[in-house]
Amino acid sequence: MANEPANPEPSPKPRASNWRTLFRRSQTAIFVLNGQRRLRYANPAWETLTGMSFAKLRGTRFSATRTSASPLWATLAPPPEVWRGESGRVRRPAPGAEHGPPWWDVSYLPLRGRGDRILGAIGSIAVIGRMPPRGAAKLPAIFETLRHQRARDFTFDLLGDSTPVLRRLQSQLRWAADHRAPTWLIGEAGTGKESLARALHGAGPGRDARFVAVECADLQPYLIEGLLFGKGGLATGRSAGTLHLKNPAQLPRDLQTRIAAWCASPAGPHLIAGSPVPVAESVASGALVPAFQTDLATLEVRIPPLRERLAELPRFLARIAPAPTAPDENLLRVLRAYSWPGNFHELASVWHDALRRAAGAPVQPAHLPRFVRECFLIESSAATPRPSPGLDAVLESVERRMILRALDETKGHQTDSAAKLGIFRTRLARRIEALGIVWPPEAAP
Amino acid sequence: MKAPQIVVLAPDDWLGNQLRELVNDHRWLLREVRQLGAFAGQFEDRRPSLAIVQFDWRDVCAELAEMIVLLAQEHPEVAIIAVGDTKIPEEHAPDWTAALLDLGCRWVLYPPLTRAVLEDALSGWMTALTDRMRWPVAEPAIDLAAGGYEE
Repeated sequence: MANEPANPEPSPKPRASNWRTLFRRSQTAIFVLNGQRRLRYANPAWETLTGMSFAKLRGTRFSATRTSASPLWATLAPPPEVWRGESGRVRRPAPGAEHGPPWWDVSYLPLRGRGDRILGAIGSIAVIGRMPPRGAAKLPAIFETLRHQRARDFTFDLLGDSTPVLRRLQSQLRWAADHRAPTWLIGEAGTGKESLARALHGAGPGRDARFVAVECADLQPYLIEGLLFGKGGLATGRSAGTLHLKNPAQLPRDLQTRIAAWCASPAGPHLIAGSPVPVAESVASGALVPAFQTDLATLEVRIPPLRERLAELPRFLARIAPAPTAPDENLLRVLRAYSWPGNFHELASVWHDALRRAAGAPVQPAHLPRFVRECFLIESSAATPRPSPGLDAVLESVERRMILRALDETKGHQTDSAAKLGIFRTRLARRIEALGIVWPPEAAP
Repeated sequence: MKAPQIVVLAPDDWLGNQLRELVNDHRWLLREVRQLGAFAGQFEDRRPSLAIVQFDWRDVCAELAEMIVLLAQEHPEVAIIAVGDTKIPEEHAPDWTAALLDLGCRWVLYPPLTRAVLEDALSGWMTALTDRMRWPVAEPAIDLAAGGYEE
């Protein structure tokens, strides 16, 4: 004890403000990429999780397209929104798990510099699920290729941005996708709610999980219950990343309550519901349980019907089935005159039918169904009304017909005619001359 | 509207036999196809259509998956129902169901299948499809009587 210094120097404590120390102590796997997507830092938890040494990987570029070296680069590559300055999260199968489980939920925080330049990003990894037991059935690899190919068809461009309403709608949906916000798409049947739900799924951080659409109307509730909560039902696994529930108000309330509880749970899917009436209205009428309104309706957007988006008709037609030649203005005028109560379902049906009738030739109005053409005829006749004849012309016409009738009845006797008309004979004679009346009519030149 | 149809793609006639009575009761058309190549061609004339695809989860060929995606893309009005040929372990069912729904199927059924379940599922879907193709009648854009041109 005598050798010990009287005031021993305190052992150097790590400074709490040192971010490297914080990250080193963290049990969460954390890594930092620079603006060129190269690895600049990874903590020990990251090394443990990936089984790789940071010292060896320092400077490696993480890119979704670079898959030849290691699946790790593709798994950890930040999604495009991070490089636009937005935070992002993706769920991807862990390297070596092919399709998962386990999955890695990778969250990214962009680091902004001056002038909104992105200097890099900080990423953290959370492991979801466990490796299945050996011998478990794997989904064929072609499924993954095909789902990516299919996902490319569904983007927010489907909506178009020709009006301020559509532009606002697009930005609302992008926000909902980024935040996995439970969303209600309100619109008439056939307005493209499911396509938009797929676009929402594809734009969000859960895009790598599955999109599951469930029709609730017209199906027996026990079938839907079996699909979701039965043995081997979707709720027993974690494959469903997004649940698109169509017309949930048609379900019995006890099943609605189970679905709402599942969607509100942390392990539940991202709910995107489709309905023809607003949530509040369904809840007020008792058709929908309140949990859908209170917990699962962060955003409610109204999808405009086709009749309000007719300006973009050429784009819609090209998407449904491209014609050999672009539809001409004459054809578009006829299509725009119709109100399309069946929305895109009806447009698709009519357009396919017209293409078949045209048999490879340019589609003409004559190839459209009669009910569509009739609406155009009615509208065009109403749009060009006949000019009003004017009061004087109407009065003269009436006066001429009354004088001729009186002359007919009196066999041309002007005095008797004047008496019948209740005027003096001299006035009748002046009117006959002014109106150029000839009696009998056969005597006219 | 043309008569609704059910097109079955299956290696044998078991599924078709299960549906025959339901189809006759509703006067729908039932077409049974054995070859994948002939399947997609059954949906060219636009009518309410159910496509029933029988599959074995242990041996799904790439062509079948491609055909499901192609049909969902080119004929979104057709409801594709995947019916498992063999029993699937409970732990794999959610993954397979979610994957098939993601590809474009509307419903997935696994054995043991009873006729009642098949009939309930298919008649429910057929009602939905028929309603979807029977849109409300459009009203004339202009009311002629109100415009004063009724003569």
